Amino acid sequence: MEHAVEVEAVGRTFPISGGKQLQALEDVSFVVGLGEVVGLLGVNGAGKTTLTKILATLLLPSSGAARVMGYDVVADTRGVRTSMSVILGGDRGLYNRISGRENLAFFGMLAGVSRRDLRERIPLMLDQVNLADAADRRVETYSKGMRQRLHVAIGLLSRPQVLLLDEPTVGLDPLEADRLRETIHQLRREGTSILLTSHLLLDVERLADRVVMLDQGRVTADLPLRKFAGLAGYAAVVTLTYRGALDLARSLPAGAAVDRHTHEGELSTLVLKLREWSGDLFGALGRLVDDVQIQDIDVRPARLEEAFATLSARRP
Amino acid sequence: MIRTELVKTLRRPRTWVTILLLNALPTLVAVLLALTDLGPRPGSGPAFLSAVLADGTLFPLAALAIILPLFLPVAVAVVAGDSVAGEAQQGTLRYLLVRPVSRTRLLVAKLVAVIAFVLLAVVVVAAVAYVVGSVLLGDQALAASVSGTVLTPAQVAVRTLLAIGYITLSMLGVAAIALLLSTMTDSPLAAALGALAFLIASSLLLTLDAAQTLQPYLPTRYWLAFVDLFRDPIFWRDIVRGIGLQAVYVVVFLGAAWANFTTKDITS
Repeated sequence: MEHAVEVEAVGRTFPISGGKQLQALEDVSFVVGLGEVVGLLGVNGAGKTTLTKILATLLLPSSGAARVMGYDVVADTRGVRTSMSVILGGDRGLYNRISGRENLAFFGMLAGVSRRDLRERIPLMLDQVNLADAADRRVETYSKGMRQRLHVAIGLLSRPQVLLLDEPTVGLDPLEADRLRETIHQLRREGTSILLTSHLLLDVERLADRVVMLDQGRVTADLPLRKFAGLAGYAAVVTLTYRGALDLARSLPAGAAVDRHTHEGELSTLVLKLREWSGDLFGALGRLVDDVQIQDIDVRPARLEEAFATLSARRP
Repeated sequence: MIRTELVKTLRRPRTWVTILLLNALPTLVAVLLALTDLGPRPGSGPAFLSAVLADGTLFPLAALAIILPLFLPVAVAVVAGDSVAGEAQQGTLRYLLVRPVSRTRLLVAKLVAVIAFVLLAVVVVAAVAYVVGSVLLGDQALAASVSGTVLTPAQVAVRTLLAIGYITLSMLGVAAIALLLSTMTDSPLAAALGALAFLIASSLLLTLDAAQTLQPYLPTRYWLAFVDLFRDPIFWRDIVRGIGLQAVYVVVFLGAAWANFTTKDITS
């Protein structure tokens, strides 16, 4: 088996008023390799949640097929559920009147974790998500972030081969979010395959090897992270703060485009987008600023969100 | 799974508050009867109420007859209506269904928990009523059957157990209706109210001459037939019909609940 998740021409329709059908997914195909982290991106209504729920065996596909660790999501739901954990995000979905430890034990038992493993792993998971001190408190006393961390602990308790993460850092403060990202890195190092859906592109940028973009129920991009970022239409952004006068009309090198040029007193700020990372281009930029006094310079690669915005703007 | 659902039911404060409330009205009635010694005329008021003044050990039957038309079905509809819809509303249903537990098994576990609640409620009401009746109304061991003959304490005990079983089965019909509705909505309240609307409609049609052809098939038609267990000899006709009718309701509505739940999209 080469792939942890295989999605083949999956379609899903929902009946809407007037006897019409809403096409939420259409001919969606992609794979998640073993040990790979794939980010699933798309604007609201793109079909991410529908696809996640089909893989989680909560919805049936109208057409096509999907498999998790070789198990069909329609014909072999038990195999799918045994090999995969789902963390759907948000702070609902826990039993409020019992403690965090009891929630872990209950969901762990449902996931088929033995009593002995539960005894060993529950304290470990509580430590990992920093809930050890609150483990015996009722969940109704937990903050939103604590509930989200408990969801993560529940999801990881059964040592899944595949993890379906939907908005995992929603509700977490920056430190907790970073801790969770480190946990996901650790899982990847241990060989867990992860399909990550997040509106926070920072999560995808830091965690994913590859990005699948959905738009109006169709796959519009399926690329390694760096190539996906290149879809922004440029490879790098250079921000120059300087004193003096630049003759951009005459000396702007080919491959560079002015994004913004502002002046405030004696200081000017120039933002350039570079089509590619190349020594020639940076050399030409060096010559461009020979005659001015540089105050500050910042060079960064194109961001995922810029590619995301560019792709989303192409919608008909 | 079944054990967990049972533990959840038993640990839920609502279970015990409901059972406490179910006991409240019969206990109040026993206190009033003991204080005033004024029972309804034979043939009027709830079944057995006039007889309990002669022997308090019949009070469990009077208590069940008091709660059977309304309070017990309301309690059962609320508990059964909450079983699946409550999980959906709380957001836990999707987390239950992504675990390697089949939906059929989950539904069976929910059903067993509802049956346990019904049985627990009926037994606790009967037991509390026995104690209250014996203490407040006396234990003369002279229980008269509905037919006027005297029943021995052993006969009363056996027939009371049969009545508890019959009432439990009658309530399973209510539970099956509420459970079906619970698989169809994310609102426990809507499921419970839907089941109650069904039962109120049934009770209303039972009073309407124009609905005579429907009456043998209405779910509430034979609920009070347990009184026939206390005739001498036992009058089995309506009891057997009641058992058959409830069995049909249970099978049909549970079958529909299973068919709906096992193929349902979980969107909550």
